[in-house]
Amino acid sequence: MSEIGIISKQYGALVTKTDKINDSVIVLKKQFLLRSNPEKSKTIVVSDKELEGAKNDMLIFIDYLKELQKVNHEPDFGILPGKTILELKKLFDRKPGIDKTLHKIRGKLKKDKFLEKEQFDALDEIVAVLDNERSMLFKKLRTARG
Amino acid sequence: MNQLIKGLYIDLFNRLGKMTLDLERLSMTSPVAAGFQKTAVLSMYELKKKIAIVIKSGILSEELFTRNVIISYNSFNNEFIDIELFLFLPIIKHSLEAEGYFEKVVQKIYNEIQCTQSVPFISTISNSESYYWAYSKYKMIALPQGEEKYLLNLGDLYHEIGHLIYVQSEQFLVDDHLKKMTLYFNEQRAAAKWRKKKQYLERIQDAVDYWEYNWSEELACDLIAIYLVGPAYAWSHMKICTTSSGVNEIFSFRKMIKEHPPDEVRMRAILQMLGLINQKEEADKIREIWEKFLGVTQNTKPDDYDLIFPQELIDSIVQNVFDGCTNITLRSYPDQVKKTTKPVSEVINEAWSKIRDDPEGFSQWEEGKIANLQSLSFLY
Repeated sequence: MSEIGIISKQYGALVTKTDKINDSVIVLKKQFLLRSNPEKSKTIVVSDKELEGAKNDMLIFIDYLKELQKVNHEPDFGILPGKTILELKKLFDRKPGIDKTLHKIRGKLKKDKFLEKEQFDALDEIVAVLDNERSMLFKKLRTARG
Repeated sequence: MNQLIKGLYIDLFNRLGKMTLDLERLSMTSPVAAGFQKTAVLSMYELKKKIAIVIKSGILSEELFTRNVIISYNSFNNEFIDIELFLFLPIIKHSLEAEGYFEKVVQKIYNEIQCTQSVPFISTISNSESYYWAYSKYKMIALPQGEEKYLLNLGDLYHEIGHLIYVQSEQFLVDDHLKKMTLYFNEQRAAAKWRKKKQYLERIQDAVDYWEYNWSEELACDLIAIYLVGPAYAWSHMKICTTSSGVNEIFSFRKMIKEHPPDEVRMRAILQMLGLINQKEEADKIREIWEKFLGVTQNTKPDDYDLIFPQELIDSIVQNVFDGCTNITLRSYPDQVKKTTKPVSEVINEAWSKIRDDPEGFSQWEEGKIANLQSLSFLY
C-alpha cells in the first residue's frame, strides 16, 4: 500500500538538483569573495576544477529555466517535479526582473567573467524556491501513508 | 548568526558520531539485519564526511554564504532524519520475535514465488494508520507494530514485495502501457481543444503525470500481489475500501488526482487479474459483494472519472503485468498451491475464508497457524 518509494524518487531528484545548484552558488561566491578580499585565501579555497563544474552546472540550469518560460513548452519532469516548476514560474511572474538578471549571469559565465552581488541575490532566491519545495516533499515522505 | 549556524553543524556532526557508535555496538544475529546495520553505519559515515567538509571550508564564518549554508544544513538535517527514521530506528527496534519471524516468513514466500532477489529488511516500525509500506532505497518493508500476531493483512505484504520487484523489472511489467496511456491522453487533449473544453486540459496533464509517476506503479504492485497471493489480496482491498467509503473516497472524490489510483479502479484491476490466474469463481463471489458494497455506500463519482480511468488503460496494465509476471517466472498463487507445501499465500487465503465463515472462532485458529509459521527455521 506504499507510496513512499515514489515520493522518495521525486525527493531524491529534487535533493540532487537543489544541492548541485546551491553548491554551485557557493563555489561562485567563493570566487567573488577571494577576488574582493584576497586575504581570505588563508581560510577559503576554490579550485579551477570546482569553478569549471559550478559554471557548467549553472549554465545548464539557467538554460532549463529559460525553456520553462516559453509558451507551450513541455517541461522535463525528470529534472524537476511539476509542483517545483510551478513555484519557479510563480517566482518569475512575481519578480519579472529576475529573468533579465539570469540572462546577464548566463552571459558572464559564458565569458568567464565574475558575478556581482545582486546577481547572487537572484540565484539565492531561486535556490530558496528549490529548498522550500524539497522541504515540503521531505515532510510528505516522512508522513507517507499506505 | 554565523556562530549559531556553525554550532548547528557541529551539533549534527556530534549526533551522528554518537548514533554511529550506538549502532556499531549492536550485535545482530540475523544476516539480513546485519547487512542493514552495515548500510546504516556506512550512510552515517558518508553524511558525517559531507558535514565535516563544510565545517572545514571556512564558509560558515562568512555572511556572504549564510543563506546557502542554511540550505545545506537543511539538506544534511533531512538526510539525518531520513537515516534516523528509516535506518537507525528500525535497527534499534529489531527483535527476533517480530522482525526475525517476518524474515523467515518472507524468505519462505520468496522461495514459493520464485523471487530471486535477496530477502529485504523487515521492520515493525509502522502503525495501523501508516500501515504497510516499502522503501526501495534501503530495500526495506515496514509493517505495523505487533503485526506478527495477525494473519489477515499479510496479503498486503505481497504488494510491498511487488514494489521491490517493480524497481528491478519495471520494463517487463508495464511494457507498452505507458505508450498506450500517452496516445490515449493525446487524443483526449486534442478532443478537449477541439470542443474548447479548456478546463479538461490541465486535468489531463495531471492525469498523465500521475499515470506515469504513481498510478502505473501502484496498480502494477496491486496486480503483482493478486498474481502472487490470489483472492486474499482482493479481500484485503475490500477492508481498505470499507474505511475509504466512510469519507466518500471510493472514487477519490474531490481528491481524484493523488498518489494512489482510486479504490474502485484498483478493485476493477484486481478482479480482472483474478480472472487471468484462473480464480474466476472467487472473482465472481467478490464482485457480487463489491457491487452490493458500492450500492450501500453510495460514494460519489466525479464527472471526468471515466475520462481519466478508461477501461482500455486498465485492460492494458492488467494484461501487461500478467505477461510480465509470467515472463520473469514468478510463480502464481494457483501454481504455488500446486507445487509447494502449504505456501504462505494459501494460509492467508484460508484466513479470509475462516474470518467470514467463523468470525468468533477465528482468533484461536489464527494463533495455531501463526505458531506453525513461527516454527520455521532460517534457510540462509
